[in-house]
Amino acid sequence: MDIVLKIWRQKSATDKGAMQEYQLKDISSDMSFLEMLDVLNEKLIVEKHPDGPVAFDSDCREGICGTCGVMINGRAHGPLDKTTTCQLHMRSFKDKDTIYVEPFRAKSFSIIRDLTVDRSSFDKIIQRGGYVSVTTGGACDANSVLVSKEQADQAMDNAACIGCGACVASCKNASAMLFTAAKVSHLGLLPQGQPERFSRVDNMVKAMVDEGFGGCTNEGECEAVCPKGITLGSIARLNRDFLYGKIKPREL
Amino acid sequence: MNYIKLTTSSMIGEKLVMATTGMVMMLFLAGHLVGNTLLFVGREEFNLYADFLNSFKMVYLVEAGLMLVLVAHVWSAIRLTLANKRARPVGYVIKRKAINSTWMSSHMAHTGVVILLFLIMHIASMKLGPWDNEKIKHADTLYDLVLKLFADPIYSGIYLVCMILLGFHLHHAMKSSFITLGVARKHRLDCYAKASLLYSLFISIGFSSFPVYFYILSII
Amino acid sequence: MTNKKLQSSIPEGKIENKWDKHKFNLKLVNPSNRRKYDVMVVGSGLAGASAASSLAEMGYNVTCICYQDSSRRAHSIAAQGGINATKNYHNDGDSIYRLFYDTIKGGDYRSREANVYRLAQLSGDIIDQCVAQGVPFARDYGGTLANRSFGGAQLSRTFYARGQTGQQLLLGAYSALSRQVGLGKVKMLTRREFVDLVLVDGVARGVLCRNHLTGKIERHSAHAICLATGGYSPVFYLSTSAVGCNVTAAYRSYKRGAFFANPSFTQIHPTCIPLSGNDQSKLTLMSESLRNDARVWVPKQAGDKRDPVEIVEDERDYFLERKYPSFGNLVPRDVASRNAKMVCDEGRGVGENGLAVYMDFSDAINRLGRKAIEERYGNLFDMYQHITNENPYQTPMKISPAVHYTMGGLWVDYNLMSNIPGLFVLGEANFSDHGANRLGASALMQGLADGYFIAPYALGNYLATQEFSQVSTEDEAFTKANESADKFFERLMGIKGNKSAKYFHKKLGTLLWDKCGMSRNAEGLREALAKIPEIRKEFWSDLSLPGDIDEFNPELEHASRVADFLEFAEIMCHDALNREESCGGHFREEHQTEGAEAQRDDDNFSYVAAWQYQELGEKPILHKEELEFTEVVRTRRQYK
Repeated sequence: MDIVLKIWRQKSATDKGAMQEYQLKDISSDMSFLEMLDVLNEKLIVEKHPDGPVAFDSDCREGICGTCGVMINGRAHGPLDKTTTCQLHMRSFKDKDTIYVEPFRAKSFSIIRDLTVDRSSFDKIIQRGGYVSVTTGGACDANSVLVSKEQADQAMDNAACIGCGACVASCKNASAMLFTAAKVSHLGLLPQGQPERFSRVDNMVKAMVDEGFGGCTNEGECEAVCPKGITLGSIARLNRDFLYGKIKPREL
Repeated sequence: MNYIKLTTSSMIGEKLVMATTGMVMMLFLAGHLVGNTLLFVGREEFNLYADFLNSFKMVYLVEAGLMLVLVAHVWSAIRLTLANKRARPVGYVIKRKAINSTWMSSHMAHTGVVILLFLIMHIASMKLGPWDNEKIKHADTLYDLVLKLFADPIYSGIYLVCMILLGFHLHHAMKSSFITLGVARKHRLDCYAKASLLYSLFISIGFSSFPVYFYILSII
Repeated sequence: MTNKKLQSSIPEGKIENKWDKHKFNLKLVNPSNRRKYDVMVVGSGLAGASAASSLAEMGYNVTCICYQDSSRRAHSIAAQGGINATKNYHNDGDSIYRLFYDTIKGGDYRSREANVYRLAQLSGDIIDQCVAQGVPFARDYGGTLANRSFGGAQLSRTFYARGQTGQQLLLGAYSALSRQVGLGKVKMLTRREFVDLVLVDGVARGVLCRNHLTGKIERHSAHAICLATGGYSPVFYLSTSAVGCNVTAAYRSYKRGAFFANPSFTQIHPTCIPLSGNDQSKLTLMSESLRNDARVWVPKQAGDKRDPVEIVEDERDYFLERKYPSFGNLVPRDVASRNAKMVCDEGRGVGENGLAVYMDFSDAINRLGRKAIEERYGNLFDMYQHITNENPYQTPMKISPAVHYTMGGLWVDYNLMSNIPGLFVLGEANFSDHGANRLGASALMQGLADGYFIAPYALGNYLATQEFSQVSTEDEAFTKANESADKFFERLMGIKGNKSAKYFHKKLGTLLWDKCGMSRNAEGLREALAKIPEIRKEFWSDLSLPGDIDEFNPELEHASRVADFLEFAEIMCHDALNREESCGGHFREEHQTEGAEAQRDDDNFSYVAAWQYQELGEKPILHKEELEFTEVVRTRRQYK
């Protein structure tokens, strides 16, 4: 298949950047989207194109590491539900299609180059509370605390977050609520996460604001593009814990 | 819980203010609508109801409270909207595809502004308008005022449009409040969406019925 | 001959007491002194993140670097199946000794007894630790941990979190690491790549890394260094590893004098989704569990291109069931992979390029019903359909083997320290515990055991026994290493040829897969050894690199990794050529039984081959660490 690509090119964080057009011919429909970009890059390198190859992040290419992620025709990770960019194949497009590719955009995700953005804000949110404070060696026997299957399953649903940033990219307000809520829900659902349940929410929510993410307006664009199917229910859970943490009596 | 601390320390605190004040106003709206259906019953019944409300001295306190709620709602809305705008200074070249969001949910600020303007007009013309139920014989009671105002096609038209936009606003508002207050559970999100839709239809159609009814009444 | 340089430092005593006794003998660093020590951890996967967080918790001053944009993205995240532990929660007779025995046997008797025993001993602690961190392992209805049997094990000792165990364990380690970063105990530097090891008086005292964002070479002085940089599967270009995985840190440390052990021991996984087209960048693994209900076959007739459903029963060759009647489709990974290659070599392979075999579920679907199969493998079937656009409920899946894990790595002693004092190597990057073949669900176990429970003690002992001194980053050793690093990158940028780094990477990968892949022979290996320098020469004269040296330049990152692969490939071939036997993942065609089974040679090759760097192009020096087996009796693996 032949396609026309319009890709955001920006040499550095301070550069202005613009959409550039590239033509690709005879692309196999079984190729993944990133492999298609590889082919384009190979062409740009061999032809010594003045723009140089397109910089984009990717690593595992099997949909689990969360490194890849771009806006494809205005949708994070492209047209398929629950699919990361690396797991998207060219068969999802038609011959002679024009495909627009842009980086994830948010104040907190500054552009490094072309389609590569800096998502270290996510790490900073986790650093402020996305953990259970247990030191190595201090654990009791794994079976001494029972966890119901439902708890474990629901915690796992939330723990599946890969931190790709599609939720932020798709949110009108560039809010990191779904990301934060997934971690809060994961740990808040498990008995191991209970001791820090309310302080965790508080600290992570503060971190989210400090990192410059917007607020949530509960529209659900994030859950629509989440490759791991995390839902607004997690956001409601975060809000619930946040509120309860504020109104619960201080004396135990 | 310290209000100032809550709202200034986090966006979720501010969102909680939006949701609680919104919920209060939604309750008020439902009550307001039910009371106003007396307009369909007749002049005397409606005026009696208005008098009954005004006979309580507490009504001023309630009105002041509602005013405060409204101010808090608007104030938080402004602050949140500005903060949200700041979170993405450079937008996309290709418009983001809307999947779960609707025109209604993504234009809350716009419909909100319209509703605020409407409220000013509404309070100015109805609440502070020229009427006095004591002079019942002079045909300038509240009921008569309503009759007169809705006979004006422009007034009725504006009122009607505003009620539709209010419906739009409420459609997302109620659902969103349930999430913000943490009431909604994952597997019940759909129920809350449906409840929200029903409520917004009830309010929007309910309030729209007055201008439509009285305007039609005035031309036949 | 056992070389004096290779002191494995295995403690004396009975195998079950060795670790406890050793722990007692290890020197401790006074808690109030620990903050004076700088520890550098390279890599943030299971081994790196767990080591960095544990060391920081103890009070050391830790700096951790990773090449990814976040420490949460290391490739440990992609492990699907699970993690073994000897909890015996299922009352099926599991014990430390049994896991030890299985692992030694599975590794085809090419690993150290003492190390493997310690791994089995620590396996239970790992599960406790991970559960305490909030890893959502699968649970039974009563709330206890669920287990499954995995990778041919006859008991249920594998703990799992859906098909994402690696992800959950890594996120657990990442959360522990993040906590320490938040507390200011770990300095986490992302988008940094190891460039060189800095030695002062023969002791590892620092690391140079390149900041991918600015291109700047950064100097880090440390009292001890932990390499946890993973495996080198992408030397084959196509593998199930992440596209960024590389051998750079291990190889450059090797060039500085660390010994590289058993580099030819690589594991090939039989059930990957086959290659399609020429531009594929990586291979995707499907869980081995699929083989439980599938039958593997190829057409009897070579070159039969018919639709598989048209090929009737009589015309199919269920080659695994035919050759291994008792184990059938469940033979171990290496046997299954090798047999698939054999039928493909006979021209009976299927798929676009004739390199795949069918994995057929139709019998199981007829027997158990589609619903049962859907429940067991639904997500895998969906994944297969998503990638290949074929419906595996209707037509048989096509699978082909792919490189999946590298058992070889830098040589380390019982303390996980390489032959360079102060350089510790953890996880897949070292050679230690898996011998010639790794069992399923044991990579995660090893990475975490190394990071949480071994490195913290071993490192303390090392630091306590050294005289305390600071090395300035302005030291001559740093300056010199920095100069040579600058030169290396300038040389790369200065080639200004016409071909991309990917071209050379692919060319090398294809050659290695062909000559040093699933089965090897002396002739092929010699051919590869002759060809690798040619590709290298072409690389250094015809590489085209866009962009500049001092900016974010992913092509430059890739090229510098490929430059190392192009040198490293040679020691792989030397090692494979030297090992005149077949064992585990290493199959030499010259050494097979009449039934085409691997023939081990315990008399001559029961050793760890540790290679010492000589000048480039020269054959490295071989050092042998003889393996002693006092606990287990070596038998031949039999699956007939």
